[in-house]
Amino acid sequence: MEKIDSSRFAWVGESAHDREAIGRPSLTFWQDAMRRLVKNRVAFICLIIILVLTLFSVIAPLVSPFDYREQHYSHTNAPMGTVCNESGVSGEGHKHIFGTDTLGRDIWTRIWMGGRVSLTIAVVSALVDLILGSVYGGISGYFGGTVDIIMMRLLEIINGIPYLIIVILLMMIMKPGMFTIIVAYSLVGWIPMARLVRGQVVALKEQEFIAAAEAMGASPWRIIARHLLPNTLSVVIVRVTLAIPGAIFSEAYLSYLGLGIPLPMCSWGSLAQAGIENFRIYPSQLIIPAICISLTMLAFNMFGDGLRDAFDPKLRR
Amino acid sequence: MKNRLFAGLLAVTMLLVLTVSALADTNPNAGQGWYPGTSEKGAITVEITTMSKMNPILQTYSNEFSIDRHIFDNLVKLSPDDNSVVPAAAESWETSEDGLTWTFHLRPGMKWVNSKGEVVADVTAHDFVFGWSELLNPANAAEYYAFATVFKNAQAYYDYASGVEGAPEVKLEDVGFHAVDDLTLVCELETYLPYFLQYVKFEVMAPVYEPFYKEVGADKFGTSPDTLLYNGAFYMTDWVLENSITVQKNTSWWNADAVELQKINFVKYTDTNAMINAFQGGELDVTDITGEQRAMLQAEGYQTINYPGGYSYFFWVNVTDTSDMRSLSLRKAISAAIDRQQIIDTVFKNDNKVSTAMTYGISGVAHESFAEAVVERNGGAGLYAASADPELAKSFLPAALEELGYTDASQIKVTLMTSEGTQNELLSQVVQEQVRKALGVELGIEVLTITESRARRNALQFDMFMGGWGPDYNDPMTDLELFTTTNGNNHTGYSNPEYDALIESTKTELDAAKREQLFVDAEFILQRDLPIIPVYWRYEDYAASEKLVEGFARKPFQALNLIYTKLAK
Amino acid sequence: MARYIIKRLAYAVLTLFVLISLTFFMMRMLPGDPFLGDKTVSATTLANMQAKYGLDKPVFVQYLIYMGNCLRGDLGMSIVYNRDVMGIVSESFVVSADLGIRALLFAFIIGVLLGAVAAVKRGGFADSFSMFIAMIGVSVPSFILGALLQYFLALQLRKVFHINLLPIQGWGSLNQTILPAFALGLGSLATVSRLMRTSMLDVLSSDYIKTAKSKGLSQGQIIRRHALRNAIMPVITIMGPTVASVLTGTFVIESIFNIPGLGKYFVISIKDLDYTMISGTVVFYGGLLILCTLVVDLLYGFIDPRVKLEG
Repeated sequence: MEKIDSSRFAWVGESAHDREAIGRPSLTFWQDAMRRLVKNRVAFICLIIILVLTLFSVIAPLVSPFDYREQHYSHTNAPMGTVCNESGVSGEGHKHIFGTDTLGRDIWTRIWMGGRVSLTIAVVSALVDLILGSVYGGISGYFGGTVDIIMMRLLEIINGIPYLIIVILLMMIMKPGMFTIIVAYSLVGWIPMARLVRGQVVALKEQEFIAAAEAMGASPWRIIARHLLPNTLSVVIVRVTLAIPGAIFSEAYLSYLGLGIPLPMCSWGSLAQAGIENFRIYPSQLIIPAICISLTMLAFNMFGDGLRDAFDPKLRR
Repeated sequence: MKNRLFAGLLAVTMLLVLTVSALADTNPNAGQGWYPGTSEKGAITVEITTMSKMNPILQTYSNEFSIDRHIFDNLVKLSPDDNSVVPAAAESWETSEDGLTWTFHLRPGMKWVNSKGEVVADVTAHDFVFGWSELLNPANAAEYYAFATVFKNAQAYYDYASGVEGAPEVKLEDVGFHAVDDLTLVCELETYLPYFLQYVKFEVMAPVYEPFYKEVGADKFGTSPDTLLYNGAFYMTDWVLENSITVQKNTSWWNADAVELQKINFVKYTDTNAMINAFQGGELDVTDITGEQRAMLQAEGYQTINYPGGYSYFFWVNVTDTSDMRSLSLRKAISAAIDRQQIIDTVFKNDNKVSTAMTYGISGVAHESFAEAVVERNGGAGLYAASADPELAKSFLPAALEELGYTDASQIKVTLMTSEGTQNELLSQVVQEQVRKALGVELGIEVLTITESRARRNALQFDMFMGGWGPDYNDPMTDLELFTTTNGNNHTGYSNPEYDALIESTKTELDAAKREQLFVDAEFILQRDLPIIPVYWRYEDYAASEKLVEGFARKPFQALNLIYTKLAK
Repeated sequence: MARYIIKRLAYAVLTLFVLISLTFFMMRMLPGDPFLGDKTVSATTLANMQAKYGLDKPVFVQYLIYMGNCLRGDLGMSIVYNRDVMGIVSESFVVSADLGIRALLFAFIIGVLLGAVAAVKRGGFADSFSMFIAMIGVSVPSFILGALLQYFLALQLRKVFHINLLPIQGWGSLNQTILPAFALGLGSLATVSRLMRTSMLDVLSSDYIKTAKSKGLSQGQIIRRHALRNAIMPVITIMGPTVASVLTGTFVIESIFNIPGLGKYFVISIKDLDYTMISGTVVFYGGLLILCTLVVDLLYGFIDPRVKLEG
């Protein structure tokens, strides 16, 4: 047994009140989580990467001397750092930091325009997934029985309808664009989330603390919201971080099928798609959007991990 | 006198189908050792884009026709050397003095073989009669049945058999094709047609062996190698739908001795990277390449080959009141604002040519090609400028605004409709930018699926639509009759009695040179009225491995003809 | 138990029925018609074509006929291919399923192992390695991964090192399946291993594992007897969706590696508006998904005794 030095102990005083006082300030679940998140260096760096990417997407197209759609025919497929010699454009004499694409458009500007589109699609869709999926899965899993069966049947039907049909139909009814893609993606994207939450809830609701809450007369809504959902949070967050690449990839897939962002807008997905066709000759046209996609994915994933650790009460120190 | 005139005209017709390019291709790279090609001896692997149906009656795609060329023999074929009409299943033929009756003498001893190469039966004149009857059979609903309507009473029979209201009864026996005996086929035409043989060579006019067809059933015929019989240089042994077709040399073919190739694999690719990788990795001998890939191979020192496919590309323009493009001045402005050479250089990066006329790939009377006759009349220049002329374009703008009743160019609403595909989309973006720079008019771009864009095109619900047209037969009529008022493929709403009358007059003009000049007139009317805005003529680039030495052909009307390919030893 | 399965099967059939009906009417709302070729056909021919494929009748009558035919296992005649849809679908599905199963097995076996090892040896080499694989799988879209694998591992290996190991394209021999299965499975492998790691960590810190430890069970016994069994549950719940994503992912992979699978028809038929092919692929694909979820739910019950399979 290690010997503990007596100097590490102090007399708290005689007052009965003081004797029962809690030494450290009481933290709520969220305060505690935030505190641990900031301490996690990797997660914090990832958060910064996400913020930087977002910031560049917002600002870079505004300050760039080139317009994202301006075509410079005198230097198409130019390598990185080429100086623009096209006469009569605002960016004459400036450098094309990432070079130009097959139509002579400035890739630097297009990358950040594409970032706006991709990040918006990813984040909004993931949020919609999260909300729809946890509510639906939570209700279905908790109530079980007929409610569960009906809800799961409905889910299977929606899930069974091929994504493409939904998208084409929506593109027909709605104006093609970002909003339509988000709606189309969200319409099917929440299903895995709902299944996951339901699976967790089904397992959790048999556990003692739920039985205890029920015995104490807690309403179903309170049990779902206060007990079941928070306890599924760690799995859910991992799922959300993994759903973000799903959204970005889906957008690329749609661009690939000609159902993506309307021209001449672009997204990281459509830029990568365009880059892959010539990657053997102009590798940078693929590498740059690919790095953007990968970096975003990594950052969201690691940040998600950090959040998971932060939220997990079992890892509390 | 009249008879002699006809005879003279027929001679000219024969000339008319003369050279577009000199001889069958030779491979400039042969023997260098860069890309030796596939390893299997006597076999080559060729990339191809479509192979959905192999029942010749139902086919519509030129790529499917390319496979047909290897496994079926029509009465006549096009020579791989110069696109002239040469005997195939028919050894010889003669025509009556009025040009309305043709008698074909079939080659004796031709055989039908099955997918194992076994001889099943003799090829007779009855097989052609049956094949053509099935083409006209409404139950088959063949899209290209119209090739059989050159025969007397054929259209009337088709209408009657389709149950068109008020169509008088016509029996199949009354249609103008009859087998006199096993080797003699007599055809009567509905009207005089100088290019009748071009119809007979068309792939849907293939023979069909009736007992076999009845045995497998019309539904199943041509759905697998086993449900077809072959009378061509090769027979099909394997077919994986949407993936590959393998054909093997037919030793029973009449000219089998001249065929060196033992086997051809036609493989469908959808990914251009996979194509070039497979070519460089020795899994593919002939592949189409993109402009960028062409530059890459050439940089390595490997020569690529190209050929004119015969396709002319242009914007269909909606000239009706529903679109701002009804303004002729606006059409002229946009035509002048487009830099055609720049489009080719940025989007395609290959040898596509700026359209000097709408018609392309058609042989001329005095010139090698019809388009040259147009250029000659125009004083040596093309009808459409290669580069943009912003000043000229802007000068049309005030008149355009007046015609449309607008006060400012920003009120002009024109959308470029395009079907999806990288090049279509890039082209739209380039045109959008060019028009914006030259005119300050902002064109919209709408990318649609191919079916939706066609539906909208046919319903005239668009302003400008990028489309192409490939000739079906070697005569300017195949392109220029499009813009007559009643033509089903006139997707512009353009209707000009003068133009209609001009096209009609070519049907009775017996002098080939004068007839050609009438078509040149038509080209000038198109240039004046701009129901279409021609942009470019397409050249196809491809790479051939060093395994192919010579004798293969890729040209208009014959996207692929590999029958007489000579391989490296 | 048997009653539960029968009941679930009945629901599955109902789902499929709704799905077919919905698809049938939805695809009729798509713009255009299947007979829109590059060159337009005459009204007479159009009528003949419609009659040939039974599209001349009122839509509802067509629906009833289609449903009747479906019950008999007849999915109709493809308009584009002029062939029996059932034949095309089953022929190409065999290929897709072969590819898909290889990819899934690869993803699940390697994914679960990697995730479990990463959790047990948290912070060690295995953890970093699984993280690395997962990151690649998650962050590189399959169309980029496929193209890069093809270029570097098939073409360059051949050109530079003259190693003729991995074919560039095609389907049939074993070595032709390696690159496509890897490219198709890596994304799912990442998902599986990450989820497995998370769930394994959860399980390892739970009370019953501590109990088992205090009982004196060895680390190996604990993991095999208790932890794996419980940790695998969330992984199983995503098996259904993973099957789906692998199936849709096949389109890209099949096109890059030129594999004659079902994936391409799924896209081509919608573009061509080949009605019978669209519903054929949907019936097949939808049916498969429904079957997968059914199996997953049943598996769930077998693995976790706490989940009651109530009728």
